[in-house]
Amino acid sequence: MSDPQHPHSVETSAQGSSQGASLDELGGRISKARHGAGLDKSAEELGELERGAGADLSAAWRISIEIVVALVVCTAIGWALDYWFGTKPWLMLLFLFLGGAAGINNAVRTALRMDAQAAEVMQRKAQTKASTAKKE
Amino acid sequence: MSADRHIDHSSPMHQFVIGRLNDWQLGGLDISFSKAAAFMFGAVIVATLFLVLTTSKRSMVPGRWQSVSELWYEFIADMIKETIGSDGRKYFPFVFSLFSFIVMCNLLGMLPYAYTVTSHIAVTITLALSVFILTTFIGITRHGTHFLSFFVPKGVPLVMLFLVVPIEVLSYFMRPISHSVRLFANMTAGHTMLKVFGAFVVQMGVFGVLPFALIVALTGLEVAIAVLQAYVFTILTCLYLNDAIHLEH
Repeated sequence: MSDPQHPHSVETSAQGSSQGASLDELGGRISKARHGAGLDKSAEELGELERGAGADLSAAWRISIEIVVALVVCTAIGWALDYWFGTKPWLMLLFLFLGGAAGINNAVRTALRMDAQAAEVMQRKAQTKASTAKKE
Repeated sequence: MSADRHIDHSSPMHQFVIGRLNDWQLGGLDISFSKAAAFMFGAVIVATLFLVLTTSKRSMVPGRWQSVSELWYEFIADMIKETIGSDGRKYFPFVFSLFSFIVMCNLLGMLPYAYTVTSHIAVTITLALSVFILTTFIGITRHGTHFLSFFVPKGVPLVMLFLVVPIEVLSYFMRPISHSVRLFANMTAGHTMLKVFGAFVVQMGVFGVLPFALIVALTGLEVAIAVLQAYVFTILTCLYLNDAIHLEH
């Protein structure tokens, strides 16, 4: 991909991890300036996109697929191992429960992440609302 | 692929048949240029041309088209900054290419008579496995053997570890599968649904107006899902990268 070096995103395309600390400082200053200018909308935009058409459906897909995939694939692995070792139902049963646990594990983690993201967006919204109220 | 050819032309699944555009054989391997390959090349070419042409002027005050490219760029840059932080800047080219490729494949698939590359699990699992291998590689090179602590949650009693560690390992290995199935299932289900309702329009005669109205709405929904699923695939890539870089769940 080409390197769009337009002036508007110089701050995001800055390279080099060796100066990590100074970059972080610069990033902090930029976000502060953007916040002051009322340009701090990226998280909100992401939230809007997520809440757009089909977003609830996609959230449901995101979580349910974790459970279904882990359960089905782990059970299949158990079945295959049984087939190899000739221990007919036992490994399949073991992997059925392990798969269920792994699926729930991934699903809960996804849900917690989505929760944290939503909370962050709401917090940011409240902040911008408060700052605009202060200006007026 | 020979089984695919038996799918009837009126079947809603016919749209997913990988048609050959020519017939090339190399040492018994079928290396024919397929419709899928053509659309993948198409996605890469369209995305590259769009970005190169719209940013060629690099004007200080962006025009309409340059704004789209800048929005596209900043969308991914912000996503990386918010999920990974400044450590993630290095992986911007990878994440940006991945997003551009998926979103272009999904959107090109929405054109009439087009073929949706991402409706095949072979494509999505290749993308997901490349992410999985990359994140695992990053985790191991960054943290060495300490990477294994990723599978041992903190504050768990020693006895429980015999149960928890296998579950964590299994959870980790289920990631590329759920990552790929999510995109593939969404695209396949949506496009099949459109075709099924399309058949209703023909079969119901005058009353076909009703499913036709639904198709209009569903097509809009499908375009939204095409972008949304590319976004979901990309943000999960960012989250997995973050896990590998910072070793936290």
